[in-house]
Amino acid sequence: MKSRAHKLWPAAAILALLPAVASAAPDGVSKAAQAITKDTLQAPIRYLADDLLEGRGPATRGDKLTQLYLASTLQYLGFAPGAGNGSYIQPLDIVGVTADVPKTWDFKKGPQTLTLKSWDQFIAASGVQKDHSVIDNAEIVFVGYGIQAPEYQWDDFKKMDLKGKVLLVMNNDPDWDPKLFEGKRRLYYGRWDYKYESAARQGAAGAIIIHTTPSAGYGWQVVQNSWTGEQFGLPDEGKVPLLQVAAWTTEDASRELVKLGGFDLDTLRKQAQSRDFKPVPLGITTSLTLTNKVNHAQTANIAGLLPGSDPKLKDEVVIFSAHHDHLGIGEPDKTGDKIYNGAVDNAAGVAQVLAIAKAFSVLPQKPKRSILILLVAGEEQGLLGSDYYARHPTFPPGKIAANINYDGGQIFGRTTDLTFIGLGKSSLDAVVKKFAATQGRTVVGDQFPDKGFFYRSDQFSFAKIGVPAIYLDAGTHVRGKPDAWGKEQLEAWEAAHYHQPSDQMTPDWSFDGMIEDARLGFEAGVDIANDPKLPAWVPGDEFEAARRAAVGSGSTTAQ
Amino acid sequence: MTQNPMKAWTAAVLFALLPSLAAAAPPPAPSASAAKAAQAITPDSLQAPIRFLADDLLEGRGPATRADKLTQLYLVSTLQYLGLKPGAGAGGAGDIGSYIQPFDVIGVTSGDPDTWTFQKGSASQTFKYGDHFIAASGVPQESSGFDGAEIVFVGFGIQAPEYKWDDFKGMDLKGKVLLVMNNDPDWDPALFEGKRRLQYGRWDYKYETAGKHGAAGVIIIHTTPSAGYGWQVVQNSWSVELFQLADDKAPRIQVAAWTTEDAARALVKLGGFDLDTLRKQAESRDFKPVPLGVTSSFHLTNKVRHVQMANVVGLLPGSDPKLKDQVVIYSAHHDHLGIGKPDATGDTIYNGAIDNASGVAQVLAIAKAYTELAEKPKRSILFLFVAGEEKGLLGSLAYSLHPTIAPGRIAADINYDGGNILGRTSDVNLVSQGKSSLDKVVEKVAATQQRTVVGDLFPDKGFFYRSDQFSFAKIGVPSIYLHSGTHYRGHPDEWGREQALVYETKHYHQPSDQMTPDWVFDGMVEDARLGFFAGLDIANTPALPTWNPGNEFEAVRKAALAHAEEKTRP
Repeated sequence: MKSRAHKLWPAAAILALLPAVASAAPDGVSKAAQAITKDTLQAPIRYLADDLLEGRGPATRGDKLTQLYLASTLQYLGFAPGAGNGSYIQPLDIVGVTADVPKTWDFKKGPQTLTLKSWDQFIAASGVQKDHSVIDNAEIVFVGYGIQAPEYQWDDFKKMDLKGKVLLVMNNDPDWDPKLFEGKRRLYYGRWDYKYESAARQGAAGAIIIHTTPSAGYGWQVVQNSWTGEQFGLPDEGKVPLLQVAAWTTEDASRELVKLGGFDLDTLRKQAQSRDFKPVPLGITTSLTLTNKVNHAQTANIAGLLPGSDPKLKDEVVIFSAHHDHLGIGEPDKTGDKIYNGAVDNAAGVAQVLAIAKAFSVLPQKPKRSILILLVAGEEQGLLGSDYYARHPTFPPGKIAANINYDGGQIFGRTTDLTFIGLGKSSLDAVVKKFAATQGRTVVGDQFPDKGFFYRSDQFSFAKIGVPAIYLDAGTHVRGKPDAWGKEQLEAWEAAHYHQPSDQMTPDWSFDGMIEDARLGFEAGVDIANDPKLPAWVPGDEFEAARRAAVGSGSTTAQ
Repeated sequence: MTQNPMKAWTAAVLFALLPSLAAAAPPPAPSASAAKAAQAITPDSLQAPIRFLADDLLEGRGPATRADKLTQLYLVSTLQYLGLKPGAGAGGAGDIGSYIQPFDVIGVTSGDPDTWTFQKGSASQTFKYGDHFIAASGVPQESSGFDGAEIVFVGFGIQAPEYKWDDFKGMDLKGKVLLVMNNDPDWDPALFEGKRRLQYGRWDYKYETAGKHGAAGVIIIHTTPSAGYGWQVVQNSWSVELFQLADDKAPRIQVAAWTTEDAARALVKLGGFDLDTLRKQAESRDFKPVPLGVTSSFHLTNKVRHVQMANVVGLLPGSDPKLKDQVVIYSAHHDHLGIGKPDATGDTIYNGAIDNASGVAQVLAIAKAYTELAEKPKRSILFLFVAGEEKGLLGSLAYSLHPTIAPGRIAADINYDGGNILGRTSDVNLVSQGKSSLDKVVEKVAATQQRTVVGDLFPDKGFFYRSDQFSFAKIGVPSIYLHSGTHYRGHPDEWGREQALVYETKHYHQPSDQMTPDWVFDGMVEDARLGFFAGLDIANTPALPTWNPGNEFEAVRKAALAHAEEKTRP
């Protein structure tokens, strides 16, 4: 089947598509890439997704066994300790907060009161890691999208004093104009995390996001499930302003709320679709107190370093990352299985990075820049491990050439395409396209740009500190299958197994596609590590400013 | 660093050491490919598996525990990650199976009877459990014992045709209880290799041989010199759960017992004999068993438990079309003692960092070197991590009963049990020295490391029979079992022995057998590289290794080779 697939791809077509094919991976690199095999990929998944690892929940025995295995394996390969403390382990404290939310939430205008019901009409979580989260007689202000984006000359706050207020905010970002916030694509400005951070920067006491299914990308029940129970975060170091309460309301409840103030929700939203919009105080006040249980725990990132061979460039690094955590032991499924093994999510990603590490370890000529293998913790709890690394990087962010992140893995076979989440954002496009072409594959962008996948795995933590990132996702056109087959399989898998105890390795997995994806990342990584020029964001990208600040004047290699 | 020893390996030295090879081409020094691959054996590749296996999370790797499963999982995953093939053959279990060779084991906890009474006519003598005797069930049954069995003194209880020695002289021992001396004849260098303890001198041999003759029980007379340890070691070792293979079909005695020397003296006196006189008689080929005219009834009530353990096996197929059907085996046991009694610090986890995470690490580092070898060896290489060594070599015994390759096609076993954590030595302690042609291979490689080879430093303790290489020897496979010597480079001569004593008394089989930052891996690197080069040499040499003529295992090897040849004949 393999050779037939190659025959289908005539040489003429390759030449037409690929002027760069001659400069693909040098011999030594291609040979080292052969270390990436079904065996090297299956072996770590076998270990990590076994029931004995208990789903690798943060701060559990399964987490410790995961860390131990990863540190041991990196040392066995000959990687040096890469956590910057002489060890393979970068420990990080995490804090879990379980909020006891009152059944109702009252809003007042003069003698009138509107009472919303918890769960059905609103969801509230603590923004602070304290015993209580308190909103005391705060005024409600509608702030439109709640966005401040100088590159689009957009500022919803217009310097209004929002200190101590509760902001009512729309989800997503402006999407009706391709020139504004890249049109339909959801940028970080359109994520709920941005809304809360943005409100906190204004000193607000709370923020309420108005849920609609189109603007969130998912239904109200996802909000209900994701925002209840224990919520983990990095410890509050007092450096970043925090909200007391982070909340969501249904669209209907929001409508009633603004009506209490004498406004119409549709009219307000219409006004918000303009650069001239100014925040609208609704003349409503509210109080709310959450009682919280705060739980301190520890997990860890695991890091192994292959020092670069070039005396100068070795101070710079290419980081391969994959999160090692999953959901642990939880609610049983119908078969009574309660171990969330996370074989695809993300034993498969870790396996790809470990297979790549093995390829680096047998590379005869070590790359010029250093290579950091970074297996991060707590991704499922909100990118905690990568966020921590970004705050405590072992290389200055301006010296991090690129991040190549693996989250998930291809289990349906070789594909003719490759999904590149983040396509169009940086000079890394050319690198990925070059090596995809040598595999006879085309590169396609995010298939669901409105869902903001780029911001939903660990590469985002790197982008935030300015590091250009590659996040590859499985292609959907599986060789030798009807065109729609791959996508059907993927959707069927997601419906049945995503974040379920049944995300397990089964004998029907095909590793052929995963092998190609890992080899591509390896070859791209070597290429980036040996290129005298550092990768760069495309001009005007949302992360360009952060990169400029990071690279600063200290680097001699930045363009 | 490897360059200098190579230079020191001059042709003159080679010829002097190896007259048998002088006529042929000079033995090849390690090829460039081999020397490069050996660089994969580093402090890192050795420390990494120990880091994992000896962590408290692995709970001491007690057999048939959750930690045992984790150990197996780690080993399977690591072998596959290296690209080694499943090596457990057709008997492998299920999906991860082919790397796993499971086997059933029966654990027996014998009841402690308070006393044991012996009779002669109307006279009787009663002994106290613990103070005078210990006894364990020889069979995996809830009750074991005998009624009115006659006691017979059988001297050393040895049958060894190669020494024309037979203590039984055709006497019918069925249903009898044999009173037997420990050790083997040690006063004559021509008999049983003199002071060296052979398998004939081990307690397990005494019990097995009696079983073959249908005896109901055996009582070994303990003396500290003949055992190599005090009575209290007997008390501790035999009052715990004891394991045996479920499918071991060898006939077994009902009761396996020991007595103190004083109790034995009283027992023979009851029959009207003198112990010293009997023992004197036993020191002769002409000795005949002596029925004491004493009878005894004795019963044990036992707890029986069925559990499963597993060996983990990875295979590197050989490159020669014919020789790849033969194999060199590297073995190390992966089990240790698990969670047990707390020590003075309250630590209950018996981590077994040296015993035997370090042995496993050496074999894993060697496996890594083999995978980085540009030219694969002619014979296949099997990496075998055996279970239940601490419970009586169970895993290697199970493998020897169900070998994945016919014993006649197993070229050699190289076993690692323990590792050097103190630094490089100028000597190698080859426990298996004097038994086979493998001595020469070890000497050759040791010379490239500028090390001299010395034999077992404690020949009377029978270390050769106390780790897994013995299970291979039993099916005829010549083996290498070595440790670092005691002469540490840069230290006074006595230092090494002192350190060894510290380990024996403070850490051996204690929760404190843990990896500590002061470990020096240089010596372990050399020992593992030595094994790597030796195994590669064996794998590439056309002729199979042989036992020395007259060796105790030569006969079984000949039979195994004949059998293997028969199988390959068209």
